[in-house]
Amino acid sequence: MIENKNNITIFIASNVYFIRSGIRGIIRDLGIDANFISLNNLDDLKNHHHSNADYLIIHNKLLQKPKANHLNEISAIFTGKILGIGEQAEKMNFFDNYLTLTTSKIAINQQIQAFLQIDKESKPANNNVLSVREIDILKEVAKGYSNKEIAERLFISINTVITHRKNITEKLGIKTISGLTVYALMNQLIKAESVNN
Amino acid sequence: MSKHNHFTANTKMADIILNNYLLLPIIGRFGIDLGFGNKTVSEVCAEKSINTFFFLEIINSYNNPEYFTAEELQEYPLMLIIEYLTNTHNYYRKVKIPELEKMVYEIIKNSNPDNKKNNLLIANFFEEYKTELIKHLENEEKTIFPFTIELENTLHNHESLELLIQKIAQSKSAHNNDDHKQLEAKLLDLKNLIIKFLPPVKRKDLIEKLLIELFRLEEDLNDHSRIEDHVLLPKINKLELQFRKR
Repeated sequence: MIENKNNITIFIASNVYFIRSGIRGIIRDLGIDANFISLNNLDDLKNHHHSNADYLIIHNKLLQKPKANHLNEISAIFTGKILGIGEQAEKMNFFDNYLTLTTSKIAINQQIQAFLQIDKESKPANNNVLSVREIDILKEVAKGYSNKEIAERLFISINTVITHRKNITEKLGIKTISGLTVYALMNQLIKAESVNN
Repeated sequence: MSKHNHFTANTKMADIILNNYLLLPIIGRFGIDLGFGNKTVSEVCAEKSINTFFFLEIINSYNNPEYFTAEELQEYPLMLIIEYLTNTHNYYRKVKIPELEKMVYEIIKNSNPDNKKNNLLIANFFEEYKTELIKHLENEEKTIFPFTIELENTLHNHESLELLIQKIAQSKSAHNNDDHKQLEAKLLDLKNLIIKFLPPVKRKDLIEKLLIELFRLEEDLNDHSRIEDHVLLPKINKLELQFRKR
């Protein structure tokens, strides 16, 4: 499997399959692409490479008493963000981020999104915007020129024109010449007078 | 009845519509009026002298494209298939297109000065699509439909008509799949222009209605083209072959 560079890595440390699989499901439902690494105990963390860009979710049952000390040891080797989960609220909460199993769906989703720092702005850029060259080609198509004429007018090969046209159609979802003309007119790329019939 | 089952001669006519209201215009195309009480498909068809099994093939293939068995439909007399296709054409011309035209007109009438220009562009594009669609329907009615019926009659009358075969070959190549594909592309463009690129309009409800009707028209036309391309044309080919063999 090819690893996606943009993917985040999430370590899930719990000896309960139910919890590991539940967390994976919740995160996937949020539409987040992540590589999951399941750990049955916290010692296993040493056997994996991790960076400060990674995330660790710890089932509080895996922490040995005194829990605060154990967590400090973990924080010393794991430099990424840590989220704790447990059956109920801890009396003295030493986790910065903590979820109980009885938390509501809405609250869990919000907390996990906040924990993973899912920024709505950071979505992949919209690649459906036409390039400057594509707009040039589109204008010519809308004016009624054939591929051959466009190639001559813009000093490019017919094949290049065809490739651009294919990309334009894919990006806009518009295939016919009159449909492209309507698009060009609507977006004021050309003037109505310049349309040849 | 579950959607994946099919309707049978014993299905109540009312249940067909309750199950899938999109079948309403198709039932109407067979000349069946509402108000059939609890009558079954076979009862209603008998009253109206409709071939029950042909009716069921059409209804079932529309209801569930996976059910579509082109070969079985090809077993039916050409007259029946062409009559159904012609009724469908009439439905487009007399009901569907005027309905859409009215909606487009309403949108123009309710435009702001800001968006009137854009709405007119959409209206023109619709007009162009409409003209092409009507021309396509008329072409079929003037050429391929009558020629095919003539061919079938000729076969039965044991006359030889090389000329007719030529006429059919010509109209068949004029009516190639490309025609359907071109019409489909235009309809899809119209939908995409409205969905993706038409700036906000004053009467959102009108645009929504128009779009929903365009989706319905698309579905109906797809089914119609399937019958033409996968039932009518292979049937003509078969007839031709029979004719050449004699």
